[in-house]
Amino acid sequence: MKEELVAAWAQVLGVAIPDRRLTEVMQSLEGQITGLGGLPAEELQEVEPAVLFEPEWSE
Amino acid sequence: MSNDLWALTMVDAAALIATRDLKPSEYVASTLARFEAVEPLIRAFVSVDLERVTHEARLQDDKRGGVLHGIPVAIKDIFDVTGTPTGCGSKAMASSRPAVQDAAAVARLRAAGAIVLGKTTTHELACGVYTPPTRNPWDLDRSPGGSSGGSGAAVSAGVVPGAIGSDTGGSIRIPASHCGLVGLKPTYGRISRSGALALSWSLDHVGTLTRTVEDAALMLSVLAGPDSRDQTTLKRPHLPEPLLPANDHVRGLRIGVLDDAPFAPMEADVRQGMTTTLKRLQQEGVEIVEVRVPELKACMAAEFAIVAAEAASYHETRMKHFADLIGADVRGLLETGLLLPASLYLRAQKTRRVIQQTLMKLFADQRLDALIAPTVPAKAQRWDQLDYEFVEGTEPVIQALVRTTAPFNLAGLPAIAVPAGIGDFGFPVSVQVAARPFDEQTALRIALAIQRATGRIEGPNVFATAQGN
Repeated sequence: MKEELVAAWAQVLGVAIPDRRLTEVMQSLEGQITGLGGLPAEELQEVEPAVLFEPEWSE
Repeated sequence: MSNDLWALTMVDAAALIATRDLKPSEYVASTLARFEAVEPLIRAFVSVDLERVTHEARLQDDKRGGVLHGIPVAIKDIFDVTGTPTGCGSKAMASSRPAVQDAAAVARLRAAGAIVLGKTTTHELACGVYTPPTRNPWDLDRSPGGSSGGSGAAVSAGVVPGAIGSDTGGSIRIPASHCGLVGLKPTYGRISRSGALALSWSLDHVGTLTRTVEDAALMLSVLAGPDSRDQTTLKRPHLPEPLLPANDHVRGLRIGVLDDAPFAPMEADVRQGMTTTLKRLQQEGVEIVEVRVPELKACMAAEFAIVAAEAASYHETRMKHFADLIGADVRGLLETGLLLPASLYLRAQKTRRVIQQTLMKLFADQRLDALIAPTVPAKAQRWDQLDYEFVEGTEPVIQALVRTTAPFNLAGLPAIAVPAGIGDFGFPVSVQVAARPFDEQTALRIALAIQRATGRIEGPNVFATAQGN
């Protein structure tokens, strides 16, 4: 990953990141992506994410 | 009455007040004197209104009240307390207006008769493990842990018998371990989060820091219950009554031991604390079962992806206007969260589902009543300490402390940290007991057996600690 890429991605999303912080954010983002968010996608194919929506009606 | 009333446990003080052998004003006066003596050393509070607290205590002298009648408690400064700003340890929230309504947990404490003594420090936005400027009462050169570090230091130093905190990846259990306390993170959905700052909606738990297991049970009995302002608390199983049985034997229970990665590596003191605790439990008739859950190695990546994404979303507007007021460590996490792909967040939530299902299958297949693990793998870090040096290698402090606690946030299971003795270096070591969802009773029962076998940890001598620094 390159700082220029992070800067461009942040600009597209409207996230203001000062130049002096780009290295730290790049390293953090790289760490997150390398970490895969946990398990590899292949091991999660049939799994529903642990987010739940329960419709409620007030009585 | 003795000048050491502040040292009473919550259960003992409540009993004395109920039988009118102790006046709330006497008890509170003792805790306020303790506050004035130790606060300059530990700096655990952001606000204490001495006049209001004294007045409220006097008003309670001639009344009868709930189970916490006349008991002073401390509130982590992420919970709304009417008339007080909720600063959340952040300059970005320094201009927040006084709250107009108590957080649900605070309202429940007050309804039971508790007196809010004051608000305690938090690591900025409840996201970190140092909690500046608060000092660890066991060693003023060390951190009390975080993010509920002020609550931990206040209870450990004897200012209050109990406090509330929040735990998203260990923020109650880490200070409990560092400060020699009992830290209870109940099941997700057991206690309302309404009126508290969110860090990560799907991982945030409200819980307690106390000096004894009995006090944790008492506070939980007050705090638990449905709240229409927090949907996750609705339609949940009721707590059993009484929460702690009079006979606290644990004979015949089966407990799975988690002591490989991500719970290892750990310092020798911590491993010794685990070994001693397991022996004591076996002597009490507990069946100990070695278990392996390799999926838990994925916890850290899932935890940080979920926290980064949810915290960034929660603070999105704040980041637009006040980013420069947020400390570099927390700001970096929020900036990262704003850039994360949605697919990565959802993969983390899928990983979380696998972890939850794997642990539930483990409980069922092995017929387990609980799991036991070190609460954290090392003693409290010094203020300037960024890494732990384990025999196996160097590891950043935040990673080391969160890797042992986060699995039970991801799984939503109740987990209680309880002291397992004092290590060779003079610091408390702690183990945590996790149980099935909404089975806080079993976790408390086992923690009580550990407390009984270990003997209650005497609190730190804050003044001797100060002279040594």
